Amino acid sequence: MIDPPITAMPWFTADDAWMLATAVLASVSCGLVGCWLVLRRLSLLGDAISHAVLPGIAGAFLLTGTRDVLPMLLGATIIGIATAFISSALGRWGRVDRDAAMGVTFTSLFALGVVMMSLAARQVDLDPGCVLHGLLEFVPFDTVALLGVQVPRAAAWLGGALMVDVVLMLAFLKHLRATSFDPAHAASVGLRVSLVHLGLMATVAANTVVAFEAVGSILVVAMLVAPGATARLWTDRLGSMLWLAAGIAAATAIVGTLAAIGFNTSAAGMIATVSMVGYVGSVAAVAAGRTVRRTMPHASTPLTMQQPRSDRP
Amino acid sequence: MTEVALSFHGVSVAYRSELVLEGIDAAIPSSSLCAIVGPNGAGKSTLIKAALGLVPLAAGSVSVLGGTIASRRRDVAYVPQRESVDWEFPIGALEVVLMGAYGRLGIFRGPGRAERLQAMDCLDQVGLASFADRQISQLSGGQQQRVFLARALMQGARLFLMDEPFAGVDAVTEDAIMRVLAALRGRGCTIVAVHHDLATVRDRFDHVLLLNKRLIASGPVSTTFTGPLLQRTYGGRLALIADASSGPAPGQAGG
Repeated sequence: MIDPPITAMPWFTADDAWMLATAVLASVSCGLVGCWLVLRRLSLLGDAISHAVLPGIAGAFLLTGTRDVLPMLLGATIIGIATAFISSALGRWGRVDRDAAMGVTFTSLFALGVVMMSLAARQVDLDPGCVLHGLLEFVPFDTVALLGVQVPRAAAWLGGALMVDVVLMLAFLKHLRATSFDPAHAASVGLRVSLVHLGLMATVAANTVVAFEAVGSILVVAMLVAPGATARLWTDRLGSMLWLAAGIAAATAIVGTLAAIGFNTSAAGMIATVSMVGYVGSVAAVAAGRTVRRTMPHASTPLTMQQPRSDRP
Repeated sequence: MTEVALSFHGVSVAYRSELVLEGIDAAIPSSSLCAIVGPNGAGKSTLIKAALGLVPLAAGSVSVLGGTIASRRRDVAYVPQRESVDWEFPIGALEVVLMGAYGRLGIFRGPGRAERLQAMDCLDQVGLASFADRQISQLSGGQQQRVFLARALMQGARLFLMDEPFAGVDAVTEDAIMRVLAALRGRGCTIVAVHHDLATVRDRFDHVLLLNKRLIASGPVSTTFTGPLLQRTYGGRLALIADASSGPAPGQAGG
């Protein structure tokens, strides 16, 4: 692809613009889904699934001999659900606690995936390093025609994933909220708690696959968890948290990608680094705000309403 | 005529092949305030979950308002134990109460204006109307418990199953909750609550179910909440029990 400069900045090309768009789409879709992992204290399960989908991806390579997204999506989603299922089954019947069950499940699946990948690499033009770390830089070279425009394949898939995520979240907001806050009550009014859980896990797995080409299957964890965890620090409202997480995800993707272009380093690594800086900075800022309010109660507007507890209305 | 609101027929429940409830046979009459009493690990919460169909039965069956729980779900409101709730979840009091409507809303429908008005009314009934927007984590233990009672009211149920509704609650709140429960009973509702404070059973409830993995006794408080039966329920720990059973009405102890 020829990339003439599209702006006054000669270092920012059309390819760079597509990289940026792809990174933002990956970050926002993962960040939104990841909010629910953060809220349900399942961040580690997100990590587990993003590792465990590897055999699903490799299996799809081996079976189809191509790098088509659809078989990978299918393979990885199945493995993603299986991970959630196996780790809860091990936790229940294997007499180990949940963390151990999860650790056993995802490391062994990941190991299986690595072996399968090296087998697949003999047949398909596939770089295992690319699967693990992603290559945002190569995204613009693999395009599909969408409404007459040549769009990077990864961007098209990620755009679709983001739309599906938003639709699912709006449709099942009630279910997600009730089963996260009080699963026992949700079950008592007839909501299918474990189905919601598996659905969320399948969505995480699917998002991981769609995003892995851009950011790799390891750094995708940063995209899943960091925006939600950072947003949660700043707000006590679910709606604000979701909007804020989407904004933070987009901002980290933009800053990270631009920094990577500027410093000529890995975009995925840069995005993950920026999101970490954002999170740590937020922790410090919120803690500092609390200290200021405690020492000077009238000095600032509180971020969250902290009122003395009283039992009388 | 005493109708039965909730009855257990030979109910056994097992966790990992260990029986936590064994052959429970009991009937709780309609329009009663029933306490489930027993030591820790007696299976009190499990009995309530069994009634709700939240744990699989190893044996036996449960009849809820004359039918199966699946067919009566909308007539049953559950207030779970405090531990089952994620208190850090970002949610306000009114939103929690609105969850009481989730069971009757269609699959893709969220609560609308009518539900919001009703939820405000339920908050008002428990005296928390001015706390509608307050984060659940910023309410006191007693207020949180009242929000959950409001959510149960929102469900418009006829049978209320409550797991320790008075845990972490001060005396003022306990009275406020009791007033709402008594009003519910007056309207023909049945309330079944796991209860820990033996000293208040006699004042607050009219029916009692004594449980320790097996059913020790079930019946009116006046004839069932007695020293000998409590001794059998609690085993050796007696000093406290002798007090409780004879507490406000010593003449009835052992009767």
